[in-house]
Amino acid sequence: MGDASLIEMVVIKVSPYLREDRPLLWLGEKDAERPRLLPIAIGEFEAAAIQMPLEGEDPIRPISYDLLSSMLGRLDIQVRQVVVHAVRKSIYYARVVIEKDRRIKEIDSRPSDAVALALRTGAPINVSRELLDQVGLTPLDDELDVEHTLDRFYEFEPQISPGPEATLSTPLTPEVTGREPEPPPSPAEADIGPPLEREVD
Amino acid sequence: MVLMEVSGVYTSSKSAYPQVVLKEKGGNLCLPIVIGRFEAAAISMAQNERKPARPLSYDLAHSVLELVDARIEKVEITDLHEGTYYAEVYLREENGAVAVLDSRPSDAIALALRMGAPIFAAAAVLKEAGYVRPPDESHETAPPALSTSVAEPELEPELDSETVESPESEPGDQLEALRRRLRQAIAEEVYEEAARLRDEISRLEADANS
Repeated sequence: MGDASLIEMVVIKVSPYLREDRPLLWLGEKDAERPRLLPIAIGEFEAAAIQMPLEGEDPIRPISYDLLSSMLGRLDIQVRQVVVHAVRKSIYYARVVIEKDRRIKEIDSRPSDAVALALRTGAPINVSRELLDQVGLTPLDDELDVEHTLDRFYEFEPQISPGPEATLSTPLTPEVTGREPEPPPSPAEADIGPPLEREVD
Repeated sequence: MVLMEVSGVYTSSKSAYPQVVLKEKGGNLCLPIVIGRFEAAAISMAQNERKPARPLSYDLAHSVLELVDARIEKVEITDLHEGTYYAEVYLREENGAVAVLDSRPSDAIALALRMGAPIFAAAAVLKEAGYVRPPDESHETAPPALSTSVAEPELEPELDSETVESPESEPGDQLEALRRRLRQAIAEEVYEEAARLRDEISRLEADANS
């Protein structure tokens, strides 16, 4: 599209099990010799959904995004691009740009959903230049490739706080289940399985 | 096909994962399905008409369908095979054509609740995995324990002999292989295996760091 206010990104990786068990989605500038990086903390389900197409894995059963992508195909809707365009109160915002019958429409989205969908539909992943200028992680002079920059990040990770996107937290309250809630699991139990998605304030 | 409604989303101390219980509309026949936590939260929010702070993948799907005047006509829990439930989503296009799409039950239910679409279950599935909740029993009673074979898929016996313990493979390879399987397990909603894989990964990571 050549929109100068946008920068095309690629998914560098999803790094598993960082602090608090929250995976990080790493976007990096696509056409830059020394790409700037944008880390976004996402949920575990969303992380798995992004990693599968990256690694060429076909899920045996379609997950939410595969279903959405087959609905889009059925409805002759093209995903033109997805754009991570803002961070407010440390939550990232994205939009999905679709086209149907030559009409363009935009839908508000979380970055993880937008990226998971982009990877399944081949749509470009863009970040607003302004946002990347503000919060992008810029390689230092002696960091010759992305891995070096990532190393620096992980070395200082406890001091750097990547912005999260909003994840879901819905405690299963009596109102929901119609009965008393289970006592909270012991720490040992809590380590089993994906973490409950935490609400971001 | 039997018309169902969402009775509730339950957690159990016996399992790391929640289950959604469908109940025959106007009847007492219940169908428990073990699902992921993300999907469970997405279902209970819709059931209680609560909106998340930010749209979830299902809300995104909902918005897309609304924008093009498409809708979900119905969803069906069609099959239960080797511990995995199968579902179908009936997508009605603006021109009236209907497409039938393969889906996981949790995705189908989460979408149906957002789109106001009816949820059906195949009589054969209900016969195999359903249970009858006595009329005098209210929500106070938990659904049956997850240890009934259906809701809690058996681990594949050969898993233990696979790569995990193999001394030949590099620790990094093992970890990567385990992580890949963990992703698959999460995607397929085989959560008992997911829990086991996570334990294994934590153990290997701890070994690697020591």
